[in-house]
Parts: sequence; C-alpha cells; structure tokens
Amino acid sequence: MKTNKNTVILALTSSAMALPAYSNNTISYRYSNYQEDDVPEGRVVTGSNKRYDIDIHQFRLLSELSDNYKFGLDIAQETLSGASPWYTSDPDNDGNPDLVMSSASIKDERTDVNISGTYINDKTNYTLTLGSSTEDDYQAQSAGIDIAKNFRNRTLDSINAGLSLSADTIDPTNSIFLNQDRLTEEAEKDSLSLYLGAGWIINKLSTIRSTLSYTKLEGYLTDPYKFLDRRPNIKTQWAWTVKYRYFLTKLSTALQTNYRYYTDDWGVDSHTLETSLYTNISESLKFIPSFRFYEQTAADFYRLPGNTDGIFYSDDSRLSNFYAFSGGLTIKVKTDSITYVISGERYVSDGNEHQGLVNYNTFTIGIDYSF
Amino acid sequence: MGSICQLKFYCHSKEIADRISQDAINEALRLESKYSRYLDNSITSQINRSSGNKNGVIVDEETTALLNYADTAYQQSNELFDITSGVLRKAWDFTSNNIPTKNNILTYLKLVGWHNIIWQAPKLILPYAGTEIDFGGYVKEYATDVLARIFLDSKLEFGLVSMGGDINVFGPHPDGKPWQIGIQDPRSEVKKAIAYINITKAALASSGDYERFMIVDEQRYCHIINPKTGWPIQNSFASVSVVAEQCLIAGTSATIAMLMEHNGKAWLENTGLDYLGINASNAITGTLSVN
Repeated sequence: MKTNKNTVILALTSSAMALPAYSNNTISYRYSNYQEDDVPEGRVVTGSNKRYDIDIHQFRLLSELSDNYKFGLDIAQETLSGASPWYTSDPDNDGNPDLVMSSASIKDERTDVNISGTYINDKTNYTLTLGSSTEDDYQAQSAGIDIAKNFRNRTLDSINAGLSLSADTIDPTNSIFLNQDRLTEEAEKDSLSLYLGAGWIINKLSTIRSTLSYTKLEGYLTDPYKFLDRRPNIKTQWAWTVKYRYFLTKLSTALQTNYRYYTDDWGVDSHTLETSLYTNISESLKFIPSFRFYEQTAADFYRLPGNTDGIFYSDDSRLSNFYAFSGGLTIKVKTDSITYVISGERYVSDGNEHQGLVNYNTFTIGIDYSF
Repeated sequence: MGSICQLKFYCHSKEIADRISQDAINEALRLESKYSRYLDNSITSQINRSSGNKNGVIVDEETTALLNYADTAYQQSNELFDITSGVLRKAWDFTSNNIPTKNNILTYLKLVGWHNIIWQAPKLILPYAGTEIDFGGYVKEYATDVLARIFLDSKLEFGLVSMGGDINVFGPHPDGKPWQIGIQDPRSEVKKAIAYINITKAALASSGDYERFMIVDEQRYCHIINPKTGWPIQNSFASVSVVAEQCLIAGTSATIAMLMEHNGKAWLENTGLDYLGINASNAITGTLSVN
C-alpha cells in the first residue's frame, strides 16, 4: 500500500479518529488520597500522633503511533504531610514500646516522570523506559528495557525478559528528625534488577503467568530519618510471582489471583496473596472487588529498643514480623469514549506490638478518555 | 444491516469465541437499531421526523462523530458525498423501468444539500420539511470497523469481519497467510467472483452500479445518484474496490470514486489508496494485484 496518502484521505482519517472504534490514544487522570490512621492514644512519647496524609495526582498518556510503535508518558505529583515514627522508646518500662514521632508539619512534594517507547516487530515487543523522580531530599533516575515475545494460540503464550537500573541520590533536608549518624553530604544508592517471565494458556478458560526477578541494591540503604537505624549497604532480593486468571463465562466475570513470594538477604521473607473479581454488571458497568493478604518475617537486625548493639540495627516497623489484610472495591462506568473510575481500599496490619504498624484508607477517582 | 454478515476468526477457546462473537453481533444489532432508516425508533427516523422543525434534535457523541465525518466527506468530495441525497430514491424506482420526469426529480432535488443543514454539534436542524438524512451510505463500513475492533481489543488477532462485502481483515491466518477476498463480477447475473485479492491486515469496501439498477433504451441507470443533478452516475466504473486501513475510509473512497464519474479513476489514483476498478466491459485496472 502506498504511504503518501493525499490530503483527502488524511482529512477523512482525521475526522474518523473521533469515533471510539478508531481511537489510538488514551489519556487518564487519577486523584488519590492516602490517609494513615492516627497512632493510638497514649502511645506517642513526643511529637504528633497524626500520620501520613498523601494527595496524589497522576496523568497518563498512552499512544499507538502506528501498528509498530507505542508511546507512554506517566507523570505523578504527590504531596505528603504528617508525622512519621522517628524511633521507638519505652519510657514507662511497661514492655510495650511507644513511638517518638516527628512533627506533623513535615510537608514533602514529589514529582515522578516516566516515558516509555515500544517497538513491535512481528510478534516481539521491545520496550525502553526512562524515569526520573524528584523531591526535596531525594532524586532518582532510572532506565529499563523489556523484550516480550508473543507466540499466541500455543500453550506457551508469551515470554519476556528485562533489566532495569536506578541511581538514587539522598540529601536529607534540614530536618531535626534525622538519623544519629547524620549524613554530612549526599549519599547514593544504586540498584540493578533482572527478571524473566512466561505466560501459558492452561485450557479454554484459564491462563497463568509467572515471573522471577533478582534485584541488587548498593549504597546508602539506611533510612536517614530513623534515629537509631544502621543498615547494611548491600541488599540482594528475589521475588517470584504467579498470576492466575480464570474466566467464569456464564457470570461474565474474570477471577484473577496473584501470589508473590519475596526473600532478601536481610532476612525478610514475605508472601502476598491477592484476589480480584472483574465483574461485568452490564456493558458499561464493571465492579472489581479485591482482597489481599500479606505476611513477612523480620529483618535479621530488626529489634525493638532495649538492645541496640550490633553492627546493624533497625526499629522500623516495615522491617518487623507482621501481617496485613486489605480489601477494596473499584467501580468503572464506561460511556462512548470516557471511562469513570472510583475506588476505595482499607488496609490493616498487625502481628506485633510495634505502634508504627500502619493502617490506612485510600480513595481514588479518575477518568480515562480515548481519542 | 440488510446483508449477510460473517465473522471468521481463530480462537483457542470455544467459550471465549462464542462470547466475543455474541458481543460483536450485539454491537451490529445496536448500530442497526440506532441508525436504520427502516426502524421508527432509530436516531435516523427521529432526525427525519424533525425536518422542518426549527428546534432540531440533540444527538449523542457517536452520532456527532458520524455527522462530523459526513461533513468532512462532503467537503473533500466536491460536495458529491451527501447524506441528504437519499430522498432522490423516491424519484427513481428501479423496478419500474421508467425514467422519472424532470419535475419529479426537481421536487426531490430541492430537498438535497448538506449545506442546507444546520449542524452545530450536538444540535442538528433540518430546516426544510421533507429533508432526510441517511447514514446508510457509510454506517455499514463503520460497523465493520467497530466489530473488527471488538476482536482486536479481545486480543484475537487472526480473522475478518464481513458485512455484505464491506470487509475488515484484522489479521491473517495464524500461519501468516493472507485471506483471499473475492471481488464480485459486476456484470454476472449470478453471484460470482471476477478476481481475488490477498489481504493480510487491511479493510476493503466496494461500490458498483450493479446492486440496484434498470436498463432503459440500452442505458444503465443505477442507485448511485449524483446529488447535484439528481441523475444516476454515468461513465463511471462498473465497480470499484478500495483497500484502506479502515473500512469506513475504504467505503467512502469507493463511493466518491463512483460519484466522480469519468474523473473517478484519476481521483482515486491521487488518494494513494490501493484499488481495483472494473469498467463496463469487465476490464480490470488499478493498483491491486489479483489472483
């Protein structure tokens, strides 16, 4: 087919693009609010008991430039306010450590930009991604490549492999809530990640996908805002995920179950099990309830205060032994070219006495527009 | 849609194939009930009932886009692609073997003219009573594309949608081989192909003087009527088939090529689209290679 179409065809094609059947681009917006529950009464030594409240605005553009080229742009802008645990302490010696919190006047802004380009040749997709994240005290640059081959209509449906790199710079701001080994200059953290995945068609109604990934982090891995923390400067982590999809034809519903196993050389092992039900109530209305269970073991050097000896130490609740449940619902309403999205989720964690374990609510509204 | 519709595709699961076919069929039925001029509740009938009413009608997003497309096609075709020209079928009865009188033609011709329509999205006003619009000249090609999109969005990449000769091949056979599409012989009394075209992934639409016509005094008068003169086209292709990325574009181009009469071939060459033209003596021309 000749490629130099004249202006008539270009005019007709341009006009046709307004019809949903021909849309090649989608632009999306999401507003989310993430709100952590307050620290329980009486469990704060000093500082505020008001935890994080985060507002997030996200924009996404996905464009099919041609049969062979796709482009994606993601911009996220986050505003965070609220206090966070600085360290744990047990001043009343009751065996239940309380939290020493930072003040609630901390306000931080972060902007993330990611672009991706995909080249499709025959049945293989080559994707390059570049990313940049900026906040007052943190800068991260990342790059990644992914190669995916689709076999289609065979039992082994697809395989993909990828690599990504990130170079981060930490420069803690003039906060008083710093690590006792204050950073006197910028610190760096680099990471390299490799992964390999495959997808299979099990039978007429179900598919499964699995990915294995390896990540190595090197550099300043301690939290500069946790007073007592001293963490190793190398970490190696592995993750294995399985995603299973089953289509319930008569109910016009798709069940999706994901399992993830994670382990690292800091001693943290975790399991995540997540299930979602994509239910088509009608042609334009979709309900997606979901449920997630998470459990992890503690890092080797995690301890609540009492004994801060040892080369490495952390009292960060995120490195403790805990479990968490979350449940949520997403509703999508579709008109000709616009999809409206609303969702909410509640997350609770428990499993030990650390008052830093967080419970939170998130709420999201958004819109997808195809053109 | 008044013609035979076919879905041919490959899928690893019968349940999924049944479900997606049903989605496609439902969508075809939706478009038919929305745009058919034969159905009282269709948008077309509602619009046409409002002709002469200064308040007009408010149309939805999909209809807005289709009307904007018709407007573009009107501008780009020297005003020959005109969705108000359907009333002229009331002057021309191809079963009668009678040529209408000049007055008969003029009665309807004065109701024709997209430039007389007031279109300010989403409001459409047909100021003169008796004016009609008809989506029939392009909604079938649009429907073909809509159905093809349903398959592609469901990740089914091998197959085609055919709506009475308007075809969208959304992917080859799984081994990469193209589909063989037959081009109707415009002068054969029985339905038979005069040539075959191989298509791997593209749309094809045809227009011709053989679907509805009459021959009076050895002169052929067909259903494609010039909206400026009120007379059926003369000195045009017997049939022309155009290949484009979208069936909508292919169909509009084929129709405009026919309406351009003796200028049709040059016009089509200029578009850069691949085509196959058959003249009254069944000679084949064009840029498409045939089997």
